[in-house]
Amino acid sequence: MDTLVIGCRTTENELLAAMEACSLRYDISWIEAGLHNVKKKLNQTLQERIDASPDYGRILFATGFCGNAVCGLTAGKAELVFPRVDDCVSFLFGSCRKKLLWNDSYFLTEGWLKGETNIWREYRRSLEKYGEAKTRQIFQVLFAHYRRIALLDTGCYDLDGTLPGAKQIADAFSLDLKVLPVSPDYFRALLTGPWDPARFLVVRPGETVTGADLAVTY
Amino acid sequence: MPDTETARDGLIDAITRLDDGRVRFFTDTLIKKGCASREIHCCLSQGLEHVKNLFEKGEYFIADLIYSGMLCHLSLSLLTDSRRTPETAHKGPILIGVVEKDIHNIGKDIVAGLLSADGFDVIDLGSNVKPRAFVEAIFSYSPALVLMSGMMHFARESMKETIEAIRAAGLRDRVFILLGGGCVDPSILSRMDADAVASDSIDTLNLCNEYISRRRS
Repeated sequence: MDTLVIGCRTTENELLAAMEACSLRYDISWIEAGLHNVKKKLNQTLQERIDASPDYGRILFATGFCGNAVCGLTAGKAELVFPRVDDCVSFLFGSCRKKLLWNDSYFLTEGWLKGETNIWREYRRSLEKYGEAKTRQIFQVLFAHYRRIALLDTGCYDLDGTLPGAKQIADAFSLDLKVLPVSPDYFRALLTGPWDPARFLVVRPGETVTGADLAVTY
Repeated sequence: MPDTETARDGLIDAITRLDDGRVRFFTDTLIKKGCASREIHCCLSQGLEHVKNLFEKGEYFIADLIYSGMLCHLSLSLLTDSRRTPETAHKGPILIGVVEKDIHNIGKDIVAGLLSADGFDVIDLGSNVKPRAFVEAIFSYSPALVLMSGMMHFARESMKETIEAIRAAGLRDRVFILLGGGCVDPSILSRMDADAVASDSIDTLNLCNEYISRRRS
């Protein structure tokens, strides 16, 4: 049975590393991280990728439920497999519970910092458009309840090369910076199976993902 | 001074273009023309809808969404200050908070600002609010409305637990519960004992005002 992986550019390093570690060579269809800002657009893109992949027997989603953007997706001939996590941060932590311990953190990896809509670019753009005083007000709202920038050390990218960028962001918004080690084990489990229903949502061919399906693993 | 129709269009355009000077000018104009509050809300709502569309097209960014909320707050503050009377100034206490396990506060803060500018006494419980804190605040402040917000997937579970806690405390029948944020859609009402779901900040404001009007009549 041919397998396709739908991967997000945000976690490209981690997916490729997991693929390498498992000695697997699945085809990958990449989605851009910026799609996450608009749930409807992300849902449409994912459905288009499913519809455009009639020759695969299984599609593995190396994503989370992404703000429930996966709700309403309908499987074609291929079975769909999703990790039972709300988003890719929980996917990197290995569970929602572990992420919730750091819930007051703004999470970064190299993948996020490379993204076209990352927070630093947003800040620079805001300074240009609104000037310093208004930008300060806007970002006070944005960061009001965050206490730190948490740089997730997944072991899949150049941490030392990424730290200065993370520190610049932490300093600009008067937040602490913490490096948190995480493991891409959950990625490997997605790639290899078996797909324990407690950890993975499996959607049979022809079925549609409903809101009731989207229980996450704590 | 522009006529009312020009000022209405001007306010919608000013919100859309994120122009604080013109938001102030056209709001003042509409106030001086004696325009009804509901019409100004409608202009703000249309402006915000345009901002949302521009965001979805990738022309606007998160900072612009936040700033559009701040501009609505500005407009409503001008409106409320101009019409402050014993009746309009106190629509009563309203409780708002981001439910437990979630700290995404931007939408909640925008809504809290709009409600406050519109004459509600907003009790903002903040983010990551435990069910018990909602219950205690209902006992303390006796609000008619309780607004729960959440963006994360598991915020839905926290909303359910919070509503159950309110019911267990015997308070469910005393409050109108309104849910909002990225984690909810209208279908959630079939699984949760809430009264309504709001689609955006102006919808929240309108639902709260409609409820208060129904209670008063």
